[in-house]
Amino acid sequence: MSALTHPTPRRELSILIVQMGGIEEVFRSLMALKAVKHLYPEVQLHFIARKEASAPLKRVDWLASVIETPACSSDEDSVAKVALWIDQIIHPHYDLLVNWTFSDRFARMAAIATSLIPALVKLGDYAREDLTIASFDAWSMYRRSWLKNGISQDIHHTDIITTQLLTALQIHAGDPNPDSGYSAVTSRYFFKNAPAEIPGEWANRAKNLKWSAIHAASVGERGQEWIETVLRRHPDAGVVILGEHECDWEIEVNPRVINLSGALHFDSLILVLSQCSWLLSGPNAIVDLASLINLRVLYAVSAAEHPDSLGWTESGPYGNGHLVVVSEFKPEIAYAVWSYVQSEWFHKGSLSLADHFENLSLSSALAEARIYRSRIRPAQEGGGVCFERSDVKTSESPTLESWMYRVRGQLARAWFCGWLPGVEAEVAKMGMNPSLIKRVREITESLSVLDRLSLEGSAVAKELHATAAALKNQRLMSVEDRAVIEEYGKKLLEIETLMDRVIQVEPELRALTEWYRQLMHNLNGETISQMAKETVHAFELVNEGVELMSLYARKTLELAKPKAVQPDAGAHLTAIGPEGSPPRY
Amino acid sequence: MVADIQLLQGKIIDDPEMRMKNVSRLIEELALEILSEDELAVAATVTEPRPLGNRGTA
Repeated sequence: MSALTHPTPRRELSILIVQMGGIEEVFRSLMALKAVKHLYPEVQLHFIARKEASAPLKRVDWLASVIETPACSSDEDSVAKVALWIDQIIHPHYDLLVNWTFSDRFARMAAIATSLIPALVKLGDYAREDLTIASFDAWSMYRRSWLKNGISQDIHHTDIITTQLLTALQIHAGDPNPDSGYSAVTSRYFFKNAPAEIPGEWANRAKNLKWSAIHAASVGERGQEWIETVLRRHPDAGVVILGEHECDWEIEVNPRVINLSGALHFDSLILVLSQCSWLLSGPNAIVDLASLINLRVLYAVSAAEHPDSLGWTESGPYGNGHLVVVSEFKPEIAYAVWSYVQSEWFHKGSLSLADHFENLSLSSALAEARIYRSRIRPAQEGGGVCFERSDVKTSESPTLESWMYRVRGQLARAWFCGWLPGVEAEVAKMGMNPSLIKRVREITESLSVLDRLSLEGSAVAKELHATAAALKNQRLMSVEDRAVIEEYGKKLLEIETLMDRVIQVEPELRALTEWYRQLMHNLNGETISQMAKETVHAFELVNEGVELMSLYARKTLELAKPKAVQPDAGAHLTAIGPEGSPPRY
Repeated sequence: MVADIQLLQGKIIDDPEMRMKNVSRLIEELALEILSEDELAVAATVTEPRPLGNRGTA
C-alpha cells in the first residue's frame, strides 16, 4: 500500500563508468551521460578511461572524477602498478558500475576491471572465473550477440547505452527528476572553456566567411575537389582542413582555405569546430565529437562492401539535421548536398533535393547515392536517433534487409523496454513491393518452424527443470534419473540443431539464434535445475521474438492483399461532378 | 513484451570471499592487457598538443 501512496525514495547514487574504448566511444558515453545527468541531476558520475582517450573528460565539469588507467612501460612493475591502481579506485564504494567498452581491442581489459572493482549493482561485460567474457544485463548481451556479429538493427550505440543506464536507474533510483522535462543535451558549450593555443592562421581568418570543416583522412584525396568547387562557387565560404596527421593536399594558396591538419590538440580542435557551421567527414571519432557539440555533419560513408547495408546507422552522427551520403565518395554529390543545406533557409523546403541535383545537372549522380537526414524521434515513437531518406519523394522501395533492420530494432525495444509501436501503422509506413512480399512470405514459413521449435524447447527445458528440481542431490543421482536427464539434454541439443538448420535456409533470421546462443553463453546457474530454468526463459524470449516478427510479416502480407472497393464509393465520385464540391468520405 | 527486470537489474556482487579468490589472477591479466595495449598504442587521435608551426595556408 505504501508503495502506491509514496513516491520512490530518491538518493544520491554514485555511478562508475568503465569506458576503455577509443575516443569515439568516450564521446558516445559522454552523450549518454549528459542525458542521464539531465534526468538524474543528483547522481555522482565517475569515469575510467585509458590515458590516451581521457583528454575530453577533463573538460567536462559535471563528472565527479576521471580515473586513468596506469601507464605500464615494462612487465617488471606492471602487476604492482595495476594492483595499486585497483586499490585506489575501489575506495569509494560505487552503487552502480557500468562497463560501456565495446571495441574488441579493449573489451577484455575493461571486462577484467569490471570484475575487479566492487559495486552493488553491475551492468555490462565482465570476466568470469575462467576468464571468458559474459554479460551482467540484457542490453549488453544484445550488443554482443547482434552488434558484434554484424546483425544490423536500427538502434544507435548511444541510444543503447543511454537506455540501459536509464532503465537501471529507474529500477534502483526511482523515476527521473520530474522538473527536467525535455531539452537538448548537446551544445556548443558542452566542454568547459580552456585556454587553447590557436594557430595564427585561424585566429586571423576572415570572420565574415561561413566556415566549413573537412576531415581529410576519412574523406580521402577527392576531398580536394570538393574544396575547389566550394571555393569556386561560394565566394562567402571558407574551408578548414582538419585531421590527426598532416595532410599534403595541393590546393592553391587562398586565404579561404586553412590547413590545420596535424596542428591541433583537443582544446583547440573544439574551439575551431565550434566556429564552423558544417563538418564533412567519413567514419571517424570527429563525427561523434561534432554530434556532441551540436555541429551539423555531412557524413560520407562508403557503400562498397554492401550497398543495402544499414549497419552505418549504429555509429553515424547523432542528433537532428545531420546528412548522410551513402555511396563511394564523390565530390560532386557531397557538394550538391552541402550546397542544398546551405541554401535551406532560403528555399525553406520548397525545393526538393532531387530538384536541386537537377538544377546542377547531377540527376544521374543522385541515382548512385542514397541520402539520409537524421532526426531524433519523439518518445511516443520510441525515441532515439533515426535516419530518413531525403533524396526520394516517397519512401524508398523496401528490401527484406531494410524491413528486417526495422523489425529487429523493434524486437529489442519489445524485449528490453516492454515498448511496442502500433505494428499496423509501422508496416504501412515501411511501404512494399512484390519482391519484398515474396520474401516475407518465404520467411513466414521459416518463422512458423522456429515458433514450434522454441515452444518445444521451452517445454523440454521445463520438464528438465521439474525433474532436476525433484532430485535430492544435484550431483549424486540414481542411474535412472541420470538417463532421464541425459534424454532431455539430447532433446535440447536436437532442437538447437534444428534451429540452426532453419537459419541455413533463411540466414535473415540468424538474429534469433544468435540471441539464443548468447543467452546460453550467459547461463549463471550452478545446478542443472537452475540452468534448466534459465533455458526455459531463453526459449521464451526467442519465442516472443518469433511471434513479434511473425506479426510484422502477417501485417505486411495483409496490407498487400487486394481489397474490395466500397460499393458506394463510385456513387460519391459521380455525385461531385457538376457542383465541384470536394468528395466526402 | 516482458520488461526483463531480472536481467536488466544486473547481479548483486558483494561477496568478498568470491572476489578475493580471483583478484590476484585478474590483476595479473589486467596488467598484461594494459601492457600489451601500451605497446600497441598508435598515436591517439585528438589528445596531446602538437607544436604549431607557421605553415601558412596550403
